[in-house]
Amino acid sequence: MTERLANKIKSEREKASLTQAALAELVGVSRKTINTVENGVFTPSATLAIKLAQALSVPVEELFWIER
Amino acid sequence: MTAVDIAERKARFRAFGFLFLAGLTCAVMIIVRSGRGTDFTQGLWLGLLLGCALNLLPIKRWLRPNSDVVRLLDDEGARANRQLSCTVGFWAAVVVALAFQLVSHFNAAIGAEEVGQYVATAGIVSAMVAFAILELRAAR
Repeated sequence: MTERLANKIKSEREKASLTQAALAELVGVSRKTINTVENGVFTPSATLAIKLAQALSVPVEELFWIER
Repeated sequence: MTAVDIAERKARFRAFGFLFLAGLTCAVMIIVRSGRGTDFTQGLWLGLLLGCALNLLPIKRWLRPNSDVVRLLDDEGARANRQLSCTVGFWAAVVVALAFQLVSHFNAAIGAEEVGQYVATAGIVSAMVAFAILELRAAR
């Protein structure tokens, strides 16, 4: 059974009126990393996942979940 | 212009630079192997290959760890792309080495220098192309 880390970064980011570049600036990564995490291409480290959750003011377990 | 914008522009430039260097290395190797190569082209091929290999290392991060732009250029997304591209390069080198091993059964005249050139070029060039493609795809 394949598992995948899904997220709702895009909707939360848009809710906070942030661009990918602005969110990247907040968490200290490049815009392309935000882009690949948003699209599910790249699975972020726990550190980055927590930083993203803090920047978007959302609990990390709400921002990311495992999809089967 | 913010550090994120500068890093974005530099990452794109780096990716296109990698594609150019990979193409140039292949072109020089073709000249060397076609029999028209001189000591200069041999040296150029070796220099290009070493340059390419060094470019695959995060040297700037080691030299300037406190620079914001350098940190963004080598964030965890770029590190993952680098790891994956080095894996691609490793397998390309293995495949070419095995292909030469097979061919050497029918053509015993293949020299170690020739095999070394092809294996090294395949490994480094495919790693560079893979890194450039991953970076450009991530930036879309």
